[in-house]
Amino acid sequence: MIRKKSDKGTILIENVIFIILNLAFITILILFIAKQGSGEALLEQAYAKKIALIIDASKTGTEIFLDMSDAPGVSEEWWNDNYANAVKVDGNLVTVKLREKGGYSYSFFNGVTPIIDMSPEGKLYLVIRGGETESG
Amino acid sequence: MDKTISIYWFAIITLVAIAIVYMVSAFYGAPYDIRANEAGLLANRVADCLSQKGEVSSFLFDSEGNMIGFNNDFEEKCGIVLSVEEIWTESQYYFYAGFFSLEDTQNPNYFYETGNLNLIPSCEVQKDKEFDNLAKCVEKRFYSTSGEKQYLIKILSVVRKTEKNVK
Repeated sequence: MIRKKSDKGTILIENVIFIILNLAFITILILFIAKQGSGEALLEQAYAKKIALIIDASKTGTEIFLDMSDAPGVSEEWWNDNYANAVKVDGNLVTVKLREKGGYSYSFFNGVTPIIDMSPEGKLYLVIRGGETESG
Repeated sequence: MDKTISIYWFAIITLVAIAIVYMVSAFYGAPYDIRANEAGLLANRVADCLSQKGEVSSFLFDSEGNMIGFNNDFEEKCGIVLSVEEIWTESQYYFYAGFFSLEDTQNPNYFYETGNLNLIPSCEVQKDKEFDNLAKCVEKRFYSTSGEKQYLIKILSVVRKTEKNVK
């Protein structure tokens, strides 16, 4: 009788561990897919390339409005402190940084000076000026 | 028996996990390839510089009307910066602009090329089939005039930047 009780207890613990491990596995997998799917790095890359292409296609005097309203959602705390520097132009290099450990740069060939103004809501206002490029 | 099943079960779900991680990484990890767009924009930019409103730009001629072309001042005159990110040591761009008379569209009266000459073979190879790892090429041709003279202008622009556009 004592032995039987012990066996039942072992089976129960094994089952519990089995279920916990399965749940942990599924949770990790879902978190991984959700993190990849949300595409923080992808968003930075997409915006950097989009802005570089916009600058390449623009002539001096062009004013562009770009809706980046999904950018604050990447890291709200970081965004609130750094939204003004989320998009930077250094020389002919556009850098989009939407989180603490992130950032993506892409170069453009158009020798213009883009002036950048980002609103807290993620609305980017871009003015293309002539001459040498400089930090926005 | 239960333990054996558990081991097999975890072996199976580990394989499934590896497959899912691989597929998700492959799908979301592939960068956007914008090189064809970039090469097209570069060709347009060069075309705008060489010819405006259907007339060849006056700075390409001397005071007597002879074509002198660029004197190592292409970037300055056309407002194009061919420098790229520090990850690359050599230029990731190449372009060629040739001015042909209508009588002879094979031998240019004048041509200008700049950038990385090693990218030219990429265009030859991709005439029949495109390869992602090679540079992207865009060819444009248009007509322009200068006084009585007519020119066929051919532009070839090439953008590599493979590391930032292809996985």
